[in-house]
Amino acid sequence: MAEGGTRNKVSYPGEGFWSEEKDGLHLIGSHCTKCGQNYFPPREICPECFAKGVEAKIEPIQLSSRGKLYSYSIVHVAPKRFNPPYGIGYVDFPEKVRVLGQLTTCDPKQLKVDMEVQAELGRIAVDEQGNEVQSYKFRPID
Amino acid sequence: MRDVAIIGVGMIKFGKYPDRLLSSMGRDAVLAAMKDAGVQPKDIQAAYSGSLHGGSLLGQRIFKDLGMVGMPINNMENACSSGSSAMREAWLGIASGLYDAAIAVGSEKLSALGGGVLPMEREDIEANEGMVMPALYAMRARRYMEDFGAKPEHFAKVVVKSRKCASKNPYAQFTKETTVEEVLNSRMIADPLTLFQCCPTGDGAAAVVLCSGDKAQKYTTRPIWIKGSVLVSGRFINGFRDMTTPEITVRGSKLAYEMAGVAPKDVDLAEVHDAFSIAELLYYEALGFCKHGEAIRLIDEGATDINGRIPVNPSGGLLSKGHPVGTTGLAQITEVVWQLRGEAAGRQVKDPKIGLTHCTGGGIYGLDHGACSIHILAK
Repeated sequence: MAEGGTRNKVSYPGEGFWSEEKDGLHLIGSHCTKCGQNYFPPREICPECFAKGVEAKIEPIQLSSRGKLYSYSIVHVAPKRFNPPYGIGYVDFPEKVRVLGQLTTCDPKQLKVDMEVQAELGRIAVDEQGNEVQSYKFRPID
Repeated sequence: MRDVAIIGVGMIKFGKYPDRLLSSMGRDAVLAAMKDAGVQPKDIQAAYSGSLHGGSLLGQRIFKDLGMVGMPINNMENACSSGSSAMREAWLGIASGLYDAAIAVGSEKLSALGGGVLPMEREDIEANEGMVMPALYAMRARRYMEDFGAKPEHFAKVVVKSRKCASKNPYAQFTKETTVEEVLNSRMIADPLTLFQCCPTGDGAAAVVLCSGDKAQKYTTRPIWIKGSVLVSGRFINGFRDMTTPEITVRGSKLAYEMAGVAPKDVDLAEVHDAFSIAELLYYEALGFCKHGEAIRLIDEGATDINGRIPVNPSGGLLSKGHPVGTTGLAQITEVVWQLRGEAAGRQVKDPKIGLTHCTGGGIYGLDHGACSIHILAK
C-alpha cells in the first residue's frame, strides 16, 4: 500500500483507500498498535513512534462514514484539472483523523462550521488525459 | 557562535518582468547589496541563493556573470521561506567561524508560470484533492470567524493598511490605496478571501551582505546586528489541530526571542508573512503582539499602523509590496535594515531599535507549513 500520499505514478487517491458499505463510504486509514494513533491516508511507518525509536505495528482501520466539518471554503480559482467553483473542507472523524476533501456543494448557504458531513464517492477532477477522477467527497447532513 | 552583522542590503522593485532573465534580476539585487555594503567580489567567501521555481544552479547563474565563482554557492529551496532560509544559512556560515563575509540572494519570476494559483507538489495528497493555497488560508479565516467573531471587514482592513504603506514604498508592486468596500467587492478567490486579500503574482529579487562582527567596522559605521536567526520545519499532525494557531510560527518565534534575549513587547516593528489578509492577523497573535483572539482589536485600533504601538509590514508586506516567493525573506530583511537605519522615507517607523522578520510557507499535507524562518535584528 502506498505511504502518506506518495505514489509511483502521477495519480490521485486510489482504490484501497476506501470501502463502500451499506451505511455509506468509509475511508480506510492506518492504526498504530503501539501508540494508538490513526492516520489517513494509510502509511507503513508510524511517524510518532519512529521518532521515539519505538518499533510499531501498523494495521488498517476503517474510519466512520460521518465526521464534523472543521472548516471549509468555496474555491473559485484552481488548476485546470479541477472544475471551480467547488467546495472544500477539513473533516474531523471520530477516530481523531482530519481529512481534506471536496464537498458535494459549492453553495455557502448550505455549509456551516462543525456541521455533520457524510462521505461518498464522486468526481473531483478531470485529468490531463480527459479521464474523470473519482474520490471521496463530503455531503452536508441537515 | 560569533556576532554577525548585516552590512548591506538591496532589492529591485517588485513587479512583472516577463522579458527579464531571472538571473539578471538576482544579479541586480546582489550588485545593489554589495554597493550598499561597500564590498568587493574578493571579500565574499560564500553565497546562498534562495528560490522556489528558479531552476537548477540559479546561484551559479547569478554569480558567474560577476566573476564570483569558485566559492561555495548553495542553492536553497524551502518554498516561501527559500530566501529566509538562505539568510539563515549565511548567518550560520559566519557565526560558526567558517566565513568572514557571505551573501544571501533570493530571486523569483512567478510571471513565467502564467498567473493563477501557485502550483502545488503533485505528490501531495491534498493537492490532488483540490487544495490550493488560498483555500488553506480561507479555511483558517473561516474558523477564525467562527471562533472569535471576526468579520470580512477585519480582513479587508489589513489590506487597506497594507496598500497605504506600499503607496509610500518605491519598491512595491501595488502602490494605489484602496478601501474596505473595494477589497470586499473584488472577485472571490476562495470564500471568504477576495482577490485583494491574496498576495499578487510577481517577480523580484533581494540580497543581503553579512559579515562577522569583528570585521563589520571595516565596511560600515552603522552595522545592523543579527540577534536571532531561526529556521524550523512544521510538525506532522494528521489528527486535529487548531488552524487559528500556526504552530510553526509560535514555536519558531519562541526560539528566536530566546536567542535574541528579547520579548515581543521589545519589538519596534515587524515584517510578517501576510500572504493572505487573515495571515497577518494570525501572526499578530502567534508572534506574541497580542493574545489569541485579540488580533481583530489590534487592527481595529490601528495598533499595527506605521505610527501604532507595534507597526507591522510598513513595507506593504506580501499583499502589496508583492510576494515573489523565494525573494520575500530577504526583502523583509532589507526593509527592516532600512527602517533601523532610518532610511525608509515616507514609511519610516519612529526611531526603531529592534525589528523582526517572519517568513513561513509551503503548503504540505500534515504540516502547518513546510518551513518558517524568523530573524531578530537590532541597531
